[in-house]
Amino acid sequence: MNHPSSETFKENAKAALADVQLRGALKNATSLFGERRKEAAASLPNWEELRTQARAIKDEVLSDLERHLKEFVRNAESRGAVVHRARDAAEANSIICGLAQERNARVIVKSKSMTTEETHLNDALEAAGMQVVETDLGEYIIQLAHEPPSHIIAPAIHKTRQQIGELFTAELGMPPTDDVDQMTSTARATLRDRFAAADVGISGVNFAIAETGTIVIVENEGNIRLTTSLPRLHIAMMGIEKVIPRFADLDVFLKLLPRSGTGQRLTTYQSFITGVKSAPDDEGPDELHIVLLDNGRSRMLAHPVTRQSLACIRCGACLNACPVYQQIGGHAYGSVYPGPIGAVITPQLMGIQKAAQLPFASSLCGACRDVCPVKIDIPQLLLHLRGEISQRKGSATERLIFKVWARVMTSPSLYKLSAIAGRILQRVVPIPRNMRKLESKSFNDLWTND
Amino acid sequence: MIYGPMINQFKESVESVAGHCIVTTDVTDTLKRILAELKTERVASSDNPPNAQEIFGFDVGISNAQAGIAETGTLVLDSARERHRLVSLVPPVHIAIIKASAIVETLGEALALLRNDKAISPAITFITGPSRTADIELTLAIGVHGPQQLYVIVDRDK
Amino acid sequence: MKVALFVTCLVDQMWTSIGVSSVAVLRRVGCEVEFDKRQTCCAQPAFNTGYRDEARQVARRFISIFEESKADAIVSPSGSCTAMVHHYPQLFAGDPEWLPRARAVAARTHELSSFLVRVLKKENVGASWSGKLTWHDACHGLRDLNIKSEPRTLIRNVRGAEFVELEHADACCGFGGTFSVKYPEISMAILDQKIDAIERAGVQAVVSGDASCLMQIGGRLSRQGSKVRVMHLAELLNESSQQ
Repeated sequence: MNHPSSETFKENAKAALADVQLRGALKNATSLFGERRKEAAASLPNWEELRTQARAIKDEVLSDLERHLKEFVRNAESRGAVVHRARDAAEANSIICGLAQERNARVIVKSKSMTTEETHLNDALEAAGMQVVETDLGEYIIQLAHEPPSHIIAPAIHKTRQQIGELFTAELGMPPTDDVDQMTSTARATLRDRFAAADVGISGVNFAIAETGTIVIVENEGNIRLTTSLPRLHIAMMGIEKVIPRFADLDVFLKLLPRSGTGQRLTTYQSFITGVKSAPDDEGPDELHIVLLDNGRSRMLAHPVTRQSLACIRCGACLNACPVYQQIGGHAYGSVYPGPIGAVITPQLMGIQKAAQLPFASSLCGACRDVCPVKIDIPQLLLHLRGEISQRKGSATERLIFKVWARVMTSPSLYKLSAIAGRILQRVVPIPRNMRKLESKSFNDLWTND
Repeated sequence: MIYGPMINQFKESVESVAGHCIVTTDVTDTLKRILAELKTERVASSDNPPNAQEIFGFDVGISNAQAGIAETGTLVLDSARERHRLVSLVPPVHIAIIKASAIVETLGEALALLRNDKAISPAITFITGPSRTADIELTLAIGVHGPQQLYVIVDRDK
Repeated sequence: MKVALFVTCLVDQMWTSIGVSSVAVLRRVGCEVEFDKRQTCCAQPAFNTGYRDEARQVARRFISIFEESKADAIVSPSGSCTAMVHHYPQLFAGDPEWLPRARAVAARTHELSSFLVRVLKKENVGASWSGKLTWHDACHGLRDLNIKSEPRTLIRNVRGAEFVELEHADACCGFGGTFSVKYPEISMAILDQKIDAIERAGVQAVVSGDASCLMQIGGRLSRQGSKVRVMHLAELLNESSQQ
């Protein structure tokens, strides 16, 4: 799998900007998603109130995450689920590989889970000799193409129908076409027998209810229902921040998530799964294992400023609203989580060293903050991270520049002198394209106390 | 308004997500007509659901819905009360029968109903329309992994 | 009403006519304008790039100068600089000496259009300018200070001006301060969208409340040989049929 790195963000972005087809696809997708979100939000007169409520619920959880997690675990286990806590990606992958191997699993079906992409679970399962099939259409497409997702909600947004048609012809023997319905039928038919043959189904989790031990997963396609109903073993992976206190809280989140993500009132299916079936001959898996992934989240939780990053419900609205993402797409970020929220959580999950560029790749316009259903103040987080990075990893030259700058700006005489120097310098050195020349007299010079 | 406001809103909502909605006082007859239109005999019912291997051989799945949400046209299926997890998912056509009196107006009310059970059912499914995707160029395609067609029969119990 | 002008370093050095126009407009609506010649910068460049200590150094100077002023309000022809001053309490959080001083100065600092419409309740400053024009919402003014209707109200009352709403008026111009220096290609790509919208609007001028946006947009328009001019709101409001 070709994973561009966040360390080469600038080069990745340049390459993306040169890709005319990608930019066209991004423009269409982000503007369509953006318009739909806007309409969907406008159709709910209490939208702002809902956002405030959602954020309050998240803050309630994050202020005492461990207690809520323990409650969730207790209730899930009382209903027959087995819950595992994984400190990091390696541990999560090892737990899941172990579970699959113990049951001699050969075919594994997966529904879309950002968390499993974060841990590179598929690579681990394949290395252990198991076949993993992504069943979400967008994820299936990129799996066939050996590419990472470019958007949280629509992973294959960067591909045209022609490209997908060619891919299906090459990989699945589909007769050549660029008709979307035909491609969808091909995917449906091909994946059907994988569902039927699967020993294990792996899913993500949108919300985990502490009060009842329920996991809630939302979708449009039906692949999550198939993944979580047919195989004998269902494994659900979730970041620890996905827990919410009460079943009734879903009323707030199920109103915000689909509208923010795709502009729908509700996605086609919501699955509310609480433990395992009551009787052995009932429908559904025999076993449910839930993996709670930390992988740096506790570290984010510990800091009062960065804690709010964990409120994210992975709707993708900030991506669609972001002028930077709109131009470069998701691959450039070199992370499972792109866009504004990605620029905030990637450095925290992967380490500042690896993702130092990301917080600076923003004009701080604030469009993301406007659309975030849980009111995460992304610009504030970006500024905080910039502070951390400049302090710890900043270039010596830049540090010096700002030290000098501060000196100049706190001394009227130095300020005046630099202006004079600048006016001379600009006669020989060209000024940047988006700036104007220094005027021969400053406003200060012109001012007379009359 | 032909029916009460709640049924009306429910019907409109189901239709707005590409579902078919028939309000009737004779469910048996309506079912017969739909099946005749679909021209198939391979019909599975939640009364006697096929198992996970057999279910793939059926064209139609018939089940009840324990509740419905008018504001979104959503069906609420509770696996503790009926075995419809596969019947409502695998066959390309799903026909759901819901009593008019089981329709509530809002999502919040439906959630409260479910929460009020002494123990939450192991698997509850909300269904709003047939399955869909927009993963290819954001073009809407109806019918992906779940049913391609959804019929909702509203039983106006007299 | 006595006003202390915070002209901003950018306007001071590169676009004095914005300062001159701001003063003229404020005087026209009956304000007495004072200008403290010791002023320099609001510290935004350092703050935005993560250099908090340097930002605080410059912010302390700003606070010290302006708290001495007996003016009723500090007014600035820049949404982003005003927003920066409003961030001072955050910059001095937990500082028992500077936090109250930061709060006090921030509370008195206003962006020009917001000051005219919300504080002075002046929606018509007697300006006139003929032609078709549009407004670009500068990000900080829009999202940090909620400035949206005020400039539009002021513009609509300019006699002779035909106002058209710009498509995606609230989309960023791509400047973002050090962002345009660190990621010029992305900055320019974002700017492309703004320029396209301006061209489609078929206007003679683009007006905005922030000199940085105007430089970004104006620089590109002039490089393209476009006849569309960029104007700061203060410059527009200072236009009259006598000129």
